[in-house]
Amino acid sequence: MTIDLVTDHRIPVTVLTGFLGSGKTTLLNHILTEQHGQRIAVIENEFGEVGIDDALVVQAEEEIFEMNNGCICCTVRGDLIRILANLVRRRDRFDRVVIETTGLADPAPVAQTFFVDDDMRRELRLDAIVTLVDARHVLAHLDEVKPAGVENEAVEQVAFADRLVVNKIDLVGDEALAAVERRLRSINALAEIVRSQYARVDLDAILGVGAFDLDRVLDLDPQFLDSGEHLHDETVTSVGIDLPGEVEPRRLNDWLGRLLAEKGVDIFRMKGILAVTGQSERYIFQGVHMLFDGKAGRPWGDEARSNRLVFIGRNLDRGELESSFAACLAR
Amino acid sequence: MSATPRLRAAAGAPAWAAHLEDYVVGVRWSPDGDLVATASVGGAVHLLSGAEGREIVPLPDHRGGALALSWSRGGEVLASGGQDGRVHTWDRTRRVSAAIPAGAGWVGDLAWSPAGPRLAVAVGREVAVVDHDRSPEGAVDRWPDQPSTVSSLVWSPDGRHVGAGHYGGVHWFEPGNPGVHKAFPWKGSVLRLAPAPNGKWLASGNQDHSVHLWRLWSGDQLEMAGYPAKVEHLTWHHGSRWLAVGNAEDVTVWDFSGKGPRGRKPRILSGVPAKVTAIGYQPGGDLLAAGCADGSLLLWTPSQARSPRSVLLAGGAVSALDWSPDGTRVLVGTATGTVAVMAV
Repeated sequence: MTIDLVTDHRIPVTVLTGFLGSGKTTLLNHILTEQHGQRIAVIENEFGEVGIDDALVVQAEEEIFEMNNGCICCTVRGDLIRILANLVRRRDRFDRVVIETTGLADPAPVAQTFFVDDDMRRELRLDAIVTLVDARHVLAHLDEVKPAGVENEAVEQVAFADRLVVNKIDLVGDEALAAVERRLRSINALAEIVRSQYARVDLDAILGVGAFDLDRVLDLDPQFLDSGEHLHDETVTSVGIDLPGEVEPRRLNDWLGRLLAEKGVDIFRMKGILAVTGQSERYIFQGVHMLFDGKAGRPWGDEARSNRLVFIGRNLDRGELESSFAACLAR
Repeated sequence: MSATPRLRAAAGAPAWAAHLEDYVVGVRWSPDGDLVATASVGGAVHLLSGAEGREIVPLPDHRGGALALSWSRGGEVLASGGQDGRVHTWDRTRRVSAAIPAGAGWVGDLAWSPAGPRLAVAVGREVAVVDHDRSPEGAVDRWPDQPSTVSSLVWSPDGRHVGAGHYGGVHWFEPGNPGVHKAFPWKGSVLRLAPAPNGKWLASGNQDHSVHLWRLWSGDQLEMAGYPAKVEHLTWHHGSRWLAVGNAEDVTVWDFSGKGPRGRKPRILSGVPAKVTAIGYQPGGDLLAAGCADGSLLLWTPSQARSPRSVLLAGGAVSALDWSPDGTRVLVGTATGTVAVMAV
């Protein structure tokens, strides 16, 4: 076995989301202070107070472009394409880009920008979506009832996250904190939860995550709550599937194709590690809405072949997902 | 059609080459061919002699980065724009420069009218026209609050209208009229506009891997979809018969003779070694030049052959290209900061 050490020279991008008051600017300043050896470009969508002089800060006004490709959920951020295309041409290259979104931003177009635009794909690598929540107020934000057709942005930002930073834990008791974390888990079973006060987090937990790097999907360990916690009327949830055996490639293809076509709008994130008939390696995939990325991973060797998938999305039917996937298993 | 190309690889050494500090975002010959203007991503704007690349006069930087360059039709004034939200003008006869605050946002594109001393400016979501004779300090016409950031500005060939591309289509403006003179709505993000020299067609290269066409007098539309990447490089033959589009893998040439390209297949030019990063048809001639990401500059005569008649080396990934007004030389800028002039 050879170890492939092809280095990815693309500039990592961290997306920082969270409601107003969750501590995004404090976290941003913490990153800039701690990472002072690095050149960091910051793109801000609302006026923040970045207190570091040598960071390059660009103000941007959110411009969401729908792509004319027959996929209604395929939106990108035109402002980011324009600004980043210019940034990557500079001689004084940056080590990292941090995008701080507004409290009301939809994370999907931000993430999709890095997969849909040719220049962005070539020059930049989306490292992770980091969502900050305020331990004391997040449940109220998540429970806020919106008018029909209006998204609850707080829920979406939690659902899209690779890392959930629960900030201001000093302002709540242990029980309240546990309730917050249970609730976050029920929406997003994949994200790692990081606790903080004054947004002081260990930066290794939120930078260099490689959340969209298939080579880093080594094991899926969805941290599920099967403890009857689904008492809320939750429309955004995580569904995990864990089935031993092998899937038949053609059935899998048909199933995935149909699923993305029919439910792509509602599936925010997905990841999976599959055993495919006739293939000695794991098949690893991840996706954002209808954008899908998959490749062969480590060989199974002597390990028992099995399939693990996690979907995070709106109005997901666990039973239907499980049974339709089970129908792909080789008999 | 199987003529063997006679490649003159690297044979055409540059007439001259200059090394600037940064990625070159724009290069422009003055209309008389005597001067060359360049804009760099770091903000520098240079004025060089067209004959040997000697610096003529230092021009002020655009803080944050330069984005656009345009010579007035007679070459009397050079205008540049950048991330500082300013337009700089350099008056060639008086040899003085001036800075015009254009507004909030980046000055993303600039275009002098082909008919007179009027400069169209795209700044953020606003389009403005400055009448340089009457008011060199400020805008005479303003069209604020466009649907999104204006990505591309052009004049109609008769100089009567300004076209602004944005997400959602193109707005056509008439100086003196504060409204939108004519809207060409289209659901997509326009990156680059190119009006046909005869004023019949308006072409746009788009984010969603397509070229969109409007017949200007009727508003009829055509779309060429299915390019492998977003379309940013397109150029018309001076006779308006051919529209050439450079993309990730090839150059396609559409024929607009007769009833136009509807139902026709484009000519696909061969020999493209890498992603096309700049393109331009020869003024008054039939040669097509395309610069590529691998540093090659290819020249075709698309009406005669699909294979290139020559391949030159630009000394770095080509990032900008402009033909000399007499059509004998090509000016290129590269991602590594080289500016070079090549005889064809």
